[in-house]
Amino acid sequence: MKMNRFIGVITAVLVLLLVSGNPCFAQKMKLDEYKAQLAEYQKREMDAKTKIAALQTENEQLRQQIADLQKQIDATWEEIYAAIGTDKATVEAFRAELAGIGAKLDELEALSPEDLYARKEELCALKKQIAEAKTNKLLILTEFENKIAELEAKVAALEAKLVGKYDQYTVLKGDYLWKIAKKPEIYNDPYQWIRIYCVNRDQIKNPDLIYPDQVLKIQRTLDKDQYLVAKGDFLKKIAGNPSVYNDPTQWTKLYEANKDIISDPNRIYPYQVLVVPVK
Amino acid sequence: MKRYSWVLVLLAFVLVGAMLVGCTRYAGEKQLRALEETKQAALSAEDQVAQLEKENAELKAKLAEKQEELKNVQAEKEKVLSKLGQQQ
Repeated sequence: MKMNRFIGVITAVLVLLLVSGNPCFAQKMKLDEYKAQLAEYQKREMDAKTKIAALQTENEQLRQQIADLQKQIDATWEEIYAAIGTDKATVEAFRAELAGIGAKLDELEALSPEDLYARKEELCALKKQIAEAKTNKLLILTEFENKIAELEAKVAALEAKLVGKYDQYTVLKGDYLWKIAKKPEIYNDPYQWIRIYCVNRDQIKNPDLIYPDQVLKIQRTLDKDQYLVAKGDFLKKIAGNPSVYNDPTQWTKLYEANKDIISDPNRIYPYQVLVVPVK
Repeated sequence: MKRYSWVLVLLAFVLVGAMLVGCTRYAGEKQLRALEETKQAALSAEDQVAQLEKENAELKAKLAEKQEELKNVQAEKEKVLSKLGQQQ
């Protein structure tokens, strides 16, 4: 039995030694394999270096060609400026001026019709600036000719949006005041439905009943004798407002004048348009 | 003794195997290091080729753009001169 164990142990030790020392298990590389791989990488490196040299030369030539073209472009512009009787700095200043007008028109374009109405003087001023720019001799250049045409189109679009104190809206099938007020070209705010109701009292008896093809007035600016109720307002506060009566006790006057839209003097709503009787 | 004969046969196989493995030639440490360095050099050169090819494509596109720009500027010059001629 002892001999049996001894031979068993010896065998296990030998197998272990063989496994740990065997290159197959240690994943060593055969010499032939090594030589093949080395040759492959050397070839790849040489090919790449040849390509690098060729590409560097080609890229340098391309850069030179681009620089030459840029010189020709600049020289042609100089000839154009000389023919018109101007210089690069003047052209750039004019370009900046038109860009400034464009930016201001974009700002106005983003306004609601109501806000635009309030800033219509700015639009008039910009229109004058464009008219002045049109007399500039630089307009002979296509770039500025196109830019002016673009600015004039913007002004025309803004003027179309700026129709006056009231816009008109024709009721469509499925419309209701809340939905109309929510439209971006109306008030972009559904809570202003009551404002549409107030200024169209002559044709809307019940705010829940409007009809297709009814033409509603959309108020853009307030008349001098009107007051637009703001959040947190109440009759006494409104009467105390310096632009109204500057006297809170006059609230009854307001109530009497607006009884058709105020059923309870303690309950008024934002965006109601109140009539302010003469002081 | 017959009982241990299989063990002796196994030992013989193991010894013969070890001898065979020992006779095969393998790459040494230095050679493997050299191979790794060559591999890295090849890969790095190939990377550089890819970068230069990308740059080449960009330069070609820019060149085409500049050629178009020059054509437009020359057309603009003709137009301006013609308009100025009409004004005079």
